[in-house]
Amino acid sequence: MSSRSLPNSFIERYRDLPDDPEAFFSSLMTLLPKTFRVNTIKANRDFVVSKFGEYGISCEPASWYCDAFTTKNLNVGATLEHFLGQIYIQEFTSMLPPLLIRDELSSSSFVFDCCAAPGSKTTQMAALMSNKGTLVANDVDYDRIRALRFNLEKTGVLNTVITNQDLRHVTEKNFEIVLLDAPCSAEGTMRKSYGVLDIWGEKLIKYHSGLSKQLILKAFDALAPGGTMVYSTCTFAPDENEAVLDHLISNRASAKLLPVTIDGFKLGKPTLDWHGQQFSSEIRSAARVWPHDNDTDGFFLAKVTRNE
Amino acid sequence: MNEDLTFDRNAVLSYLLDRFGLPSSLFDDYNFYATEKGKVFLGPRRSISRPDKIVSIGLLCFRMDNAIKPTTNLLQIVGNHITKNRVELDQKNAEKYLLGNDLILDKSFLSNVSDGYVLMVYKDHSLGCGLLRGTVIKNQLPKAKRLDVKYW
Repeated sequence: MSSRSLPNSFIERYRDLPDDPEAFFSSLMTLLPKTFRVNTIKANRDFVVSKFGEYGISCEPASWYCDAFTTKNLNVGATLEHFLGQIYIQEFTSMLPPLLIRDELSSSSFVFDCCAAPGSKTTQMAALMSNKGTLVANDVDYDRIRALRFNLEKTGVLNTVITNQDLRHVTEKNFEIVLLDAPCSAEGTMRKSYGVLDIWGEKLIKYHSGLSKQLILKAFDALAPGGTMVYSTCTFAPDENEAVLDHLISNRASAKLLPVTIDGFKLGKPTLDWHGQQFSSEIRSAARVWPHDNDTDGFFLAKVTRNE
Repeated sequence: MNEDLTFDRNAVLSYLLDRFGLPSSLFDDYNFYATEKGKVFLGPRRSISRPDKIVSIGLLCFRMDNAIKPTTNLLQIVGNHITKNRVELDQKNAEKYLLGNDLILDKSFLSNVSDGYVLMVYKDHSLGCGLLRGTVIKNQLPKAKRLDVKYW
């Protein structure tokens, strides 16, 4: 439990958004469980579970993803398996975008991770591609690319090309899969760090909303006809979620939303009405992840195909 | 980074087969990319149309100075396939190795190995690269990877 409390402006802004506001606001004041993913490039779940059993470290598999685990033991970072990159400490919500396209990834040879650093989703996508094909991992921030490189090395990823570009200037096209995990106001991560509240406000949300509307068009344009794009954020603000998807649908006739479903994981409905703005009914296919539904961070997910 | 067409892929594949028993088919899906500084990366066959935008590609797998030097990154990935020049450690020596120390090993640890680069193994784990000279293992673990592991 944190000594901090939520700003009144935050409570006012989101009072009517979740189905259960009381559970929502309460959940934000609780600590996030420790979670990790088995890196199938270097190990498998049975091997890791067996080793952790030898150490007396208990871990609970997620019902919705066989390689995901929670643990109450805070020392998983001091295990040999972590040292060797056989496990990757990663929030459950961060595992959702690659999981949403796991079937497509297993048969794709040209994939684009637009905003890749520090590489949690990149390393997971590489594993789901069996470390084959080409995964272009881009980030605009060169300092963050150091962390990306470190994580790719540690997890034994071979199939990546790392680039350092502003997505708005990227010219490469014809990717079979594009992941745009957009930079955002990160409201959904406050269970991990209340520091996000220090800079939170309408100005920040407006900035990211505008930026994401530019990025989603560029990300979509990099997609091959028939390809699949995932758009995700770790924030609650509809300005950075539904409004961005609405902008895509309004500006790209070939963009079609696909249903977001993850067996065993509870997903919330998107909003179609925000601060007087009505969004396309197509956006119903997207999904919200409320922290009180699965004891996770907050998240937003959409799956889009290019129909041409 | 461009694939260096003068780079001798076959020489590296021969080294991996001779030294570690690694079949060349393990690397069929990948290209080797050489830099002017003698680094060789193992990466995807298909790159992008603007090589000038690439920061790095694949994984650093060799340094080519006077000889071919495999990296810990490479040996960790292919360790399960390595049949020659494996050094199986006990916990005490594995711990010393992971902390970055050189090792002086009893000959009982050194059967079926010869001087040169070796894979360091603890139980079922491929820990990384060492350089064997007689009964001494020179530690090749990068400084950034050295760590005090609490759970074995």
